[in-house]
Amino acid sequence: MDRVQLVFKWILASFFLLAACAANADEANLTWGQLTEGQRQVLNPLASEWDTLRPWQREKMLDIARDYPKMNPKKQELVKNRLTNWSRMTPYERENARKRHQQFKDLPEGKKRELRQKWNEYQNLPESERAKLRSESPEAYGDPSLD
Amino acid sequence: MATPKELSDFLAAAERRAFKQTAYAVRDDHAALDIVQDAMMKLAEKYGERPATEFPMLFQRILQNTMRDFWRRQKVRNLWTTLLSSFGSSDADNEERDPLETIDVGDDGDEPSAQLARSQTIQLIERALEKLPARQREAFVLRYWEEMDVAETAEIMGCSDGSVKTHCSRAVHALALELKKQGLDKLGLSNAVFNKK
Amino acid sequence: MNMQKNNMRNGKNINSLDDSMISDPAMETQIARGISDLLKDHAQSLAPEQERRLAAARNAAVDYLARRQAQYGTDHGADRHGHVLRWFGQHIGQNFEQHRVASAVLLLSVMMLTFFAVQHFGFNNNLENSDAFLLASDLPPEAYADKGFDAWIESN
Repeated sequence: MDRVQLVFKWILASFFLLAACAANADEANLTWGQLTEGQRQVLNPLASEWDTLRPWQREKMLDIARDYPKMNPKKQELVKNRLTNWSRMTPYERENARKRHQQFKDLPEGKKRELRQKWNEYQNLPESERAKLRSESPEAYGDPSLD
Repeated sequence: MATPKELSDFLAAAERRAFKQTAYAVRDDHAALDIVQDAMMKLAEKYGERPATEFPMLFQRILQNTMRDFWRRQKVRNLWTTLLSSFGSSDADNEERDPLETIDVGDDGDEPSAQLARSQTIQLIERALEKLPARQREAFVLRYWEEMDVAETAEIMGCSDGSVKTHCSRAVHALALELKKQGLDKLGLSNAVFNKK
Repeated sequence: MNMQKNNMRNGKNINSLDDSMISDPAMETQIARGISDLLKDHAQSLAPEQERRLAAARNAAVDYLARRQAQYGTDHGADRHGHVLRWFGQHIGQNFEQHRVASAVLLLSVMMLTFFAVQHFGFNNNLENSDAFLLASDLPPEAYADKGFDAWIESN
């Protein structure tokens, strides 16, 4: 009978897990007006285009809104300021950004400081220089099969 | 990310029209099959990790690029190759010279039955579509057949929203005139086209 | 005679379709829809050989994806929605269709594993994976996405 109980617990657990997943998916179908006040506050820059976003895009944004309250004010500020640019990027660019961020996260502090410095230098380059660097890069903005 | 079943469902729904669209563009059924086959594998290889909702646009872009590769490999120069060489060229968004030279299709002369009439209609439409400049055909197919919106079409074609609208207008204009020229109205088949909701 | 009646039905004589009519956007849409409807319809049925080849190509692509996902799993972090369950469900479904008891036991053990995995790793993993942390990091998102910046780092 122990085994039966255990099996029953597994089934219950998976049910709740699946229910949670389903709830997540449902949330992505809510219109802007149906979001909570908290969610709308965080995702304010996206208000006008929310209803035009695809479900998976909305899910990602809702994840951001979920984690936002757990952050300190400084980080919250950064999220709010950068959210608009983020939403303007293409899915492909965002995926690339995620990969790079993963690598960046694991670097030692010294290396991170170095990269911050390099970013400042890079931004001081004239746009023509930057454009040249982008186009010379093997997969500049697109996959060869996309372009 | 997509499951194999999602990929299978998407391709099953898209493969026939992908084949026809490609066949109109490259004018070769065998090549069209090869191209679609390539495109399917590329979608799985490179974009299997994407959500299935992105497949429609990705697949269209892969098709366009695979067709472009096909044209580059084509050794045979003929009139249609020359006409279609505006494919992907930098002035594609500017004033396009219209290469349509009317080709005499010939007149059947018989009074067709409804069935035959319908297949004649579709043949005329297919031929008219094949004669369009590449960019116009692309825009027409993406907007009206694939039912993508202007922004999506612009992204796939790599041009501006305005260009998409221009290409579409010209395509419809050219198709309508071509159909009329082929005597579609005389066959009383304009109903099939013009009276649809 | 019927044809003429039809052609006049909409109050416009379609036989004299001219430039000004086509320029009318509503007319343009109607024509475009009509043509594309016919094309869509016609594309429904192809020659048997063509259908066969397309199905074969589709199956090859799908098999490729199934094999790759079975091999490398789903560690891209893009889909957190029960993908493990889904994958195992498919895998088991393909190979064990006749062995219902065995598959039920396997399915349950997978559910247990998933349950405990979620308990152990909690939602901490999800926290780290959310884009919020990307946005709040030292560099702005454009930095991560800029291929030119990549090249700049490499060359220096």
